[in-house]
Amino acid sequence: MIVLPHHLSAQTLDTIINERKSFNQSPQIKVDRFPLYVTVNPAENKIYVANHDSNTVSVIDSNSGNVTNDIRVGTGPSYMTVDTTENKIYVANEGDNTVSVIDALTIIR
Amino acid sequence: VVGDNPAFIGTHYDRIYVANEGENTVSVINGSDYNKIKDIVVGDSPAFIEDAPDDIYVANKYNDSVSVIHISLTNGSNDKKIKDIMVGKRPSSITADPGQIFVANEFNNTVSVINASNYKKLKDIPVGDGPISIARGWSNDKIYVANYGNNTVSVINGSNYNKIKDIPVGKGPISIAISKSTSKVYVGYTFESIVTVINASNDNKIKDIQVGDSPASIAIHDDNNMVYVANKGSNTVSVIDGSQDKVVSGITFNTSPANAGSIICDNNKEYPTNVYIYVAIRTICKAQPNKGFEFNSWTENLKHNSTIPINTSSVSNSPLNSFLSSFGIKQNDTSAYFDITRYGTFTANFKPLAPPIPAEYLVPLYGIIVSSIVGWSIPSIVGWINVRNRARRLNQYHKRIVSLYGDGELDEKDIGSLDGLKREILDAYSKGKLADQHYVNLKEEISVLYEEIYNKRLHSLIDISGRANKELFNRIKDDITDAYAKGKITEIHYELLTKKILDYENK
Repeated sequence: MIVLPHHLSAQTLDTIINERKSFNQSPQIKVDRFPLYVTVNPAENKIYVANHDSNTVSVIDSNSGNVTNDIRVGTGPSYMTVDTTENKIYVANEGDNTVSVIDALTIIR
Repeated sequence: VVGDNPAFIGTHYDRIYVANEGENTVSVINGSDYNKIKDIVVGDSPAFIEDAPDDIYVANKYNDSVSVIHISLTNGSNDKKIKDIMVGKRPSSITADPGQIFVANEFNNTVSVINASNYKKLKDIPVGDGPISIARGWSNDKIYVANYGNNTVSVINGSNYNKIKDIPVGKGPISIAISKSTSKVYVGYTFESIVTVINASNDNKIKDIQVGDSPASIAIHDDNNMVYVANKGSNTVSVIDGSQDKVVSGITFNTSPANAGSIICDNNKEYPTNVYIYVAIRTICKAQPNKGFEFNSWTENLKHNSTIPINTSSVSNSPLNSFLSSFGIKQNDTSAYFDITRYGTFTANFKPLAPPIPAEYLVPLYGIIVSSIVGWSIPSIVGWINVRNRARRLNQYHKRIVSLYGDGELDEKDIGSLDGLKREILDAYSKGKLADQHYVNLKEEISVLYEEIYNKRLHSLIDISGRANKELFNRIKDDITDAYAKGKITEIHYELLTKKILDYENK
């Protein structure tokens, strides 16, 4: 994070180039631990991410790219399916033998 | 609560079907009140469900079979298993169309094809090692299989059940997703940090896209052609724009002051400001000042209304050019570029240019040349001469700043000259001999030089070791704080130097 004066000396230019080379990482949205499964709800323009190790489902607004909610579900969410007719998301929690139901509109478990 | 170790879910007619891998059943749940209607016993370790119009197909991992459950249109309690079909070893994944069911058998490297009307197995197709994920193309009659064991994707002709080709991909391909709108095939991995894109018309690899670690799950939003990748190794989601197959960043651009300029990216495309947009990674964006403004800096807005300066590259990098441009002499090259590598809100800051000779002064000037002095114009002429003198003075100081570069290097010796110059400028300003904007500009230019000298001093520490290094470092630190306190360096340069100091301390 450096701002450069208008005049770039050859040395500072080199520094920038090296910095850019090392910054080969690609931009990502932060979610919870061990995101095992991702699915899209086209009706609501929302993305759901099952975070296996933190027992949550992250809801990402596909228009804004922001994580709008982290919904607490059962233990070890591992798989999800979107029911577009009912507008619900079902989450299989392999750790506690339950299925969590998320209402896509109210975001309630 | 459903059965033991629920692994997979399907839905049908307001019913939910859950494969319970731990107890060899599929639970049928009422989708309105969420009460369990019944458990249907299937094979050993059901782990995958594929929905078909009137059936669901369940892959039973440990006894090499696929169970067919017939779905009752009206009543979930009438749902029942109608058949177990023997397939290959360790069925891992199923894809079905109205005619056939394709089952990937992970342990004997085949895909079984089953007739969907009489449930007879038609053929075992040899594929790569460890087929783990299978998907059907939307618009072509092709089946794609990710082979976890030998790092390939097999392509199968969906009509004659022959393998078309094996496409070499990255290590540990574990998932396949196919775009409905573009027919492109996306491959996710366990042991890579990439997603591979395959052209479904010629089945050649288009490219690998850098994402997070272990991108195992991929979902495609067909309405807007966006691809979402869950990176289980880095606890993140990457967003890929399917139209250009590039990872995108969610960006909000701002300009400050609001109408002082615009953001131009790619090939001279103007990007909207004040709205959240997806911008492809490595997009080069330029802050383009409007008339009467010049580019100052890019900043990134952080939470709690704070900002930090960010990397930019100036178009012109000769000191002379940038000095000239900062005085409005050459305005074409004053924009600055930076490339998009992360999510964020970025602001291009502009500042007003020192005004040119205003039109009202041109009238008396014209008067001097053409006719004799007319009484009413005298105050204007005085004003104009004043402006001209100030501009001349500005130019003098400016030349002296530039001359500090004269011996080719700027070093500690120049600090004395800089201090003197700074005092003179302040003196001229306080006597009204310099305009406000000129004074600000000169102060900034001087700050640039101070910053460069201190920077050099920090760099020179590398050659000194031990206690001397520590002592010198502390002295430079004190000098910098002192220079800032005395207004020799501007806030932005001070921040930059502080950052350098921190970096150095961390080392």
